[in-house]
Amino acid sequence: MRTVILQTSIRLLMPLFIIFSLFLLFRGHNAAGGGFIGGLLASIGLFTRSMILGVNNTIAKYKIQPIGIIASGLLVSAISVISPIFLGKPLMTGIWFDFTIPLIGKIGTPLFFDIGVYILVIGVVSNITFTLSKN
Amino acid sequence: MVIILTISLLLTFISIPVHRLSPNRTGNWLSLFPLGIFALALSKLDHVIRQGSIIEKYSWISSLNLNLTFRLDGLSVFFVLLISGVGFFIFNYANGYLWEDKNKRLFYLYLSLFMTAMLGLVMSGNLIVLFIFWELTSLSSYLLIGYYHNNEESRKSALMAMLVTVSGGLFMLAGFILIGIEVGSYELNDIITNINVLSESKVKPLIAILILVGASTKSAQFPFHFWLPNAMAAPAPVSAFLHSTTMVKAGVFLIARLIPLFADTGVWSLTLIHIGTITMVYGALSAFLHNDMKKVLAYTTISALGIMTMLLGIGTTTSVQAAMVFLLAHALYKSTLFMVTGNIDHEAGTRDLSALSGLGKFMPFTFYSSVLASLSMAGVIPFFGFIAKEILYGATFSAPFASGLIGFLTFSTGVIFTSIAFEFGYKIFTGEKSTMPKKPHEAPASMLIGPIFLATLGLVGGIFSEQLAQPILHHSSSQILNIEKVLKLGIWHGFTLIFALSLLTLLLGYILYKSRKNILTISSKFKLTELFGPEKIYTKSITALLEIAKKQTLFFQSGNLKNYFLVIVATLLVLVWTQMLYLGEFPSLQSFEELTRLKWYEIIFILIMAIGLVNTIAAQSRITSIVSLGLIGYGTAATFLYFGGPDVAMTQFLVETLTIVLFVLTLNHLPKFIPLSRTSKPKLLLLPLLFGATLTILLLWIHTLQTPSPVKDFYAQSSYLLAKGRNVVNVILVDFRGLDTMGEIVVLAIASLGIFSLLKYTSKNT
Repeated sequence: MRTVILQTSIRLLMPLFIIFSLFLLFRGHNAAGGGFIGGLLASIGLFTRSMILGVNNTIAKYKIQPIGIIASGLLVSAISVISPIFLGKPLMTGIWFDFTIPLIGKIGTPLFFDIGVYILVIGVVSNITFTLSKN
Repeated sequence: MVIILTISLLLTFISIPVHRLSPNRTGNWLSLFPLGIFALALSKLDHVIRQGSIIEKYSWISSLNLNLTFRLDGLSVFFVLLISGVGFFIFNYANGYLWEDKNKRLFYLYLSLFMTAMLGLVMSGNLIVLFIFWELTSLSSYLLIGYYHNNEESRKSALMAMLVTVSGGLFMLAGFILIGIEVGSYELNDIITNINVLSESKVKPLIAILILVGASTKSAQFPFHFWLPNAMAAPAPVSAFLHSTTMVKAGVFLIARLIPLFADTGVWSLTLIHIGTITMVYGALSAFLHNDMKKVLAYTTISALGIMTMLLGIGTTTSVQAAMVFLLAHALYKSTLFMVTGNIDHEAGTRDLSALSGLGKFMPFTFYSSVLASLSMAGVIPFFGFIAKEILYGATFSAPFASGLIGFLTFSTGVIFTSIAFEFGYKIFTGEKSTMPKKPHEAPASMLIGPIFLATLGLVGGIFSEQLAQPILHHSSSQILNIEKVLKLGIWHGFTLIFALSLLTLLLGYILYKSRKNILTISSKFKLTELFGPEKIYTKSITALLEIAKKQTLFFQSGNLKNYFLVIVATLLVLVWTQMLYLGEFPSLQSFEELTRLKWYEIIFILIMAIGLVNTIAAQSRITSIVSLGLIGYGTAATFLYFGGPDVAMTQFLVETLTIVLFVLTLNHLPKFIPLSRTSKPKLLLLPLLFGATLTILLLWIHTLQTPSPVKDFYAQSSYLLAKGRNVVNVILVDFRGLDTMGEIVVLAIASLGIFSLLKYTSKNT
């Protein structure tokens, strides 16, 4: 797998993987995509990179601690689930802000929930693939 | 009083950061929190006494009519003061006791969690809220007992304590739910105002019994007491805090809380008196027969809890007042004695009563506190223990029935307590120094503040009982009884019969102490301590449970992937065909007409998938087989795309890719590949073929049935209106069914942790 062509191209492709996965994540609410799909795509990118350039190289480059990523994903989702309580609304009520951000769109708690899913999926997949390839 | 809970919760969250900033003084810093809570509760005391209870209510789950209600009344303010006051010393004590411990940050975390749960428990004004905090104390107690988790005994004891108290808690929950059904509210206030509804209910005795099971497991009443002596595997500060002064008194607290509801139920008071008396006598006798200081204290605690239960069961004004006075006296001397035991264990290396003597010269301050606490335990004038004993004897001898028997048993328990007090306050500190594993020396200051202060309070509180203890105890007992009743504390009541009995207790206690050695020699021949126990029932049922689990696992989990598939496929086939035969409905030939309407690209997808299938079966190596399998998956995904499911299609594409990747990674770990053509079992093909055919027919059939789906229309219509998203699939995932997704990602996280640890272990072992 360690051919020069592959090694060079994956370095160039990695940002594309990440950007495209983020694109899928943010468009998810209105078109095909979402946190789960985006997360899967990003983690496939990460895994491809680690197949070509080595697991340790990838871990060092992106400073990945899978279990930490899983925990922060859960945390982000959990916070978005709980936060409506502080506005006196039931758990999981979708709260949307009025303004929109270019490229991302409307901001609201369901979006953060999806971001949590995205982070968690990356954590889960890289946790499994990295441990397997280290064996 | 949400502010108290917030402070305590804050303590839980900052315990680890504080440890990072000041690793050697964590306990000292953290102890400021309980001190603050103590001060806060004290400042509210006047308000509670003069203007009645403070109630705060927050809506929690409005659709279930559940509120977070907290109340600070005469009873709960007493417990809050007790928990935070003792808690302050315990945090300081832990600082010295765990000086060299590497994991102590976790200890502080668990301890703060426990304190939060306990404070929440006593302040709950709603039964469901109370239950949640109740189980939280069990959980944090599990973590604390199992703190030395490298030791198997610790782990076993922790599990035992949790299983016993949590299962008791479930009985209690059942009782609470019955109350909720009968009264229509879980609010304590509503229940007490609607007391008639409950009184007329037929299930009231059942409710009483269910709640008493919960209270008995928590307060270590016979026959559920056995977890408490085992819980002594915990570090000394835990024993001094949870297992003598606070958590084990939760059961007593619950009984006290519910007395207004059940005082007129015969079952309630009879059960309480019986359980309490048996526990009292059993605990005292067992304490006398043991030599491990911690075990002795544990059994005397069981006995003392029995006394409180019994007193609350008797239910007269004096007896309820006596229960509260005794509870305070016991908390003061027992936490001191536990800390004293911790000091001795820590500095002398043993806690065997028979092996210790002459410690006084080396540990003067520990000696001082132990003497004071023991004098209070024995009930010597003018200690607070004396006042408690007077009112205790008074209450039992004036009980409405069987007063002679109950009084005599209480008196005998008092005699045993006195003999044990001689051991703790006299025997181990005086005489010649015995040989000990460590060279004994005085404990550090942080381990002395608590015992010295609490023991001295036992003396000061006795002398100034009218000023210090009377107001609060008066209000807590009035709160329990739900009517104002005067409580008068004092040392001197004249030469009464009770006073004579009190003196006789001391004398007989001394005689018993002197003859203890001989009694122990005789009793050790009979192995009385190992003779009988509900503990054996517990151990046996746990062993049986594990055995059954093992057998059923071996039966269902063969570990052979082929078998799993066969079982799943066969089960589905049987279910589908039985249902069809049962209904007598079968797919009509009409269903197959659908097949004639295939588009040209659909045929191409089918062909691709068919090629993939044939290739998978005919493959000569595993890698070919896996890649061909991927082809089928991609074909399916492409079909989804054409039928308007882009989200599902995308997910399918990505998952297929990942599956292939994971297969490739595990390739080396899998057993040797045997191509299907070379296996001698073509009959294995029969089941899959039948399965495929059944599913095909079923899917075609479903397509012709055309049942209306209101759910589909609802989501399609309200996706944008209610959830501001046009992608229905995503809106369902993150909004409409967000709770499911939350559950799923938690499962994913846990599964991934499981895979991680499994892989790590296997790679280490091989």
